[in-house]
Amino acid sequence: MSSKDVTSAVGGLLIQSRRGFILGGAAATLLAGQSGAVLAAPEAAPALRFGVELEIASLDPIRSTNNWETMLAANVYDTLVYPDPEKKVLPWIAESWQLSEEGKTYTFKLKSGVPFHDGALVTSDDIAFSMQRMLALGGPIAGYFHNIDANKIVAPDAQTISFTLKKDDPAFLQTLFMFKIVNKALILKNKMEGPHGEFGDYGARFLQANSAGSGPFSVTEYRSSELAELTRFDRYPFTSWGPKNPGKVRIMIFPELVTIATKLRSGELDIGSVSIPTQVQRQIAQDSRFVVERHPQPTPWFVVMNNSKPPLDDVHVRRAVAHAYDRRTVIDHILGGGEELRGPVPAQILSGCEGVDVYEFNMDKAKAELAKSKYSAAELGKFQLEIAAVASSERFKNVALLLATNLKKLGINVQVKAVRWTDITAAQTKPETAFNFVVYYESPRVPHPSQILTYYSKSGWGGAYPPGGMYYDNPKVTELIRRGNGISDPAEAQRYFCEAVRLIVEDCPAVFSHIDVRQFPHGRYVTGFRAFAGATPFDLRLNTYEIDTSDTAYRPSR
Amino acid sequence: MRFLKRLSHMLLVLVGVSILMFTLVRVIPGDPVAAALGDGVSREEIARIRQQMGLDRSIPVQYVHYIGGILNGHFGMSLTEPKDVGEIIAERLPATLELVTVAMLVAIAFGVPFGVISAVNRNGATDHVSRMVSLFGVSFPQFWVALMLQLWLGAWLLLVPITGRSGLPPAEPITGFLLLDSLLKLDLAAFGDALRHILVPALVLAVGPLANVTRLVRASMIDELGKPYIALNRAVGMPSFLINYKYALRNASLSALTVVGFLFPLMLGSAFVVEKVFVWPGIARFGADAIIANDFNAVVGVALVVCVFVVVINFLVDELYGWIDPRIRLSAEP
Repeated sequence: MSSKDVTSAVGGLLIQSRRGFILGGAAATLLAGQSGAVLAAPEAAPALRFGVELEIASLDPIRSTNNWETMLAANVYDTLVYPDPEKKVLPWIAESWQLSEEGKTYTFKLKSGVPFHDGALVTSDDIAFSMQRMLALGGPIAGYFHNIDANKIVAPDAQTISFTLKKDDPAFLQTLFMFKIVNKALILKNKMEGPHGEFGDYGARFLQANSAGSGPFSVTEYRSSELAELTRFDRYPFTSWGPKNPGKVRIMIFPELVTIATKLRSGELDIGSVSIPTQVQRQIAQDSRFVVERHPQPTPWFVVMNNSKPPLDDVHVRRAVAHAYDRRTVIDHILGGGEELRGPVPAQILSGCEGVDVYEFNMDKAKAELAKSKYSAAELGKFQLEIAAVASSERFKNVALLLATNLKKLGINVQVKAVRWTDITAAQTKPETAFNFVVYYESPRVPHPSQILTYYSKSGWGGAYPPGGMYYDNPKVTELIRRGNGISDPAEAQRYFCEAVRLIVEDCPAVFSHIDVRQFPHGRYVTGFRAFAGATPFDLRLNTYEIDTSDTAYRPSR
Repeated sequence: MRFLKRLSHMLLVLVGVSILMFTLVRVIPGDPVAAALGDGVSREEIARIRQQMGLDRSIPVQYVHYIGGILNGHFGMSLTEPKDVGEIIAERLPATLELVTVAMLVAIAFGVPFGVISAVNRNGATDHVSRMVSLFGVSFPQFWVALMLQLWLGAWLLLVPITGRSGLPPAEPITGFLLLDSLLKLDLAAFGDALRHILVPALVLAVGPLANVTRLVRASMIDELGKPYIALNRAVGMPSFLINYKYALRNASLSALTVVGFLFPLMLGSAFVVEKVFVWPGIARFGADAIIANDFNAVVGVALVVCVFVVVINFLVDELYGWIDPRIRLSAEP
């Protein structure tokens, strides 16, 4: 692999951001010597009130697990690179990068003059510290970066940083969307005693309830289980703030989704959670004061099957299950929206795959497949299968119920089990305990096919996650995935991945249902929503949102 | 001597509960560490965290370490919130205690008079109304009542806020009880704000106990009012108010006291419905979420705290028996 200069020429997008960056960068340089945070938002700027149902347990970006924690981290912190649906990866804090000949060392050149919220400038030292911190403390995000050699993080000067991987990884740049840059000086100033030598606890206690980022917003108030308030960072160089952009964002936690809907209707919230039940969202949409924003997301829904246990060890039985799955009812009636999924990888992540079958809902075809299986009808009738759905979710249960009802018509007995998430993930780690079926959806953190396809080979077996219980193996598929992962040219890699997808669909180790349509109910006076931005949750970067307070539907806080 | 005996019993109960809860959460299926870390995390990372939390040791060894930690004020790390469970409990317990205390006061302040009035006007209109209200209180599910009141009082009539504990910026706590703290600071605006926020959640939480107290007091009062000494007091012209509230109620209150004694800790644990609906930042909601996530340190921590309240309140109720009815105190003394 030859050394290539992979600086991206982005054209209009970069020019606009560069203009804003130059102005912001100049201001930042002038103001850099001043002490204290400069976080005041203009008085007239409205507050955006966002109702969510899941708790924000920690503000530390390396601990973000649920949707809202990752949304918050995306708004408070910056990354080296930025996602784009077309170009995949754009420069951000890094203005360019180079890949070494052997394909394992990435060297990034940083933009200068990018300020943190407290006025200090982002340097390579902060980036090196952020990566070392994440690897030392571990956690859900660190798991994606174990391929980095922690002893070979080098910052030769303030604007250059290099990472060396243990083995080459064509998805590395996309993985960096999850790597958030923290303010080293601020963290060390607030570190507490800990097991990491001079770094103490690496600021773990401090970042639990405070922020240390450079993103468009900073956290100015936080009460876990109640509220996280963000204040806009006026000197943010990558955006041009207007009078309608939010000056503050109040992310308020309401465990009951009905309460979120009530507060939205009464004007106390501007945006409601995507998880509000479909029927309630439909009612909200009928009110002219509100709009339900709908955007397809690369969030594929599956019914994973345990390919190691009879009768699902027979491909014809699995295909029969796929034909018995009523995708349209699931999309239109149970979930209220979605688009057909062709294979395990959504089109937003892997596009242009030809010749991939879709198993249409057809009970006659299901019966025909069963007739080809090695199990007779009597033998099939003796199996007592289980389909697991996450206990706290009505939608998962309804999807499972629909499939179980249709399978019953084929003489396959399936019982729906509402199971805690912890029990599902534990059960999937062994083939004998893995559920026959599990309903789940994937929210790929890294928009690269390998993240999903890893479970379609032995390397994904036994993972503490629903697809870890598939126990599917096709040596041809494994080889194709291996080859695709070894090629950095996306077009070339796509050929291998697409062929792997075609074979996977033929083998039907899971039911490939649909991709989600994210539905956000909000006041009609809120605009700026973006469709899929190349990686979740970058479409929820709130600096592009605008609030028209002159709209009669808008009600300020009491 | 009697006090020491009672204390030793309390400690035995606490130890027993701690062993039971500690073992139970660790033997039920599910790997909360893997679930908490999410997908994409390597098996090595999961094993590392498990080792860090001491989960690779045997249960008795883990228990000994756990008790050692408690004696040093550490309840173990929560899996869902990366903090010590003791710290989380300390932050959230005042909110639940305040809510339950206010609910209990509402239940007693209204339940006792309703019960007395019902008993005195037995089979009259007031009695029928009171009994219907009691039936309502024990029949309707708490979450339904909560959502209805939230809609009616908060969203339609806009009389009270429908979520949260306070609408004001957080102030430095003294006791952690917002009503008390605001009074101590002589901040009437803060007191009013805290009262407006706690009113509806406390009312919802009080509905069931209020109904129970009313029915119990009514039944006990009817019993008492039928006794000869009451008839004698009426015969000698004693005012009804004195008969009902000074003499009859005192004798009738023992059974109500028993109910109050076990209702308080019960409400402490079952307040999670109210806390969820009204976004009350209390310990019950945290405990319920911990059970679903199998966050075992949190489950054991919350269970122990509730257990402490059970034994302490039972102890206080026992002492109150002796104060209310001296015959009980005298018979207990050697």
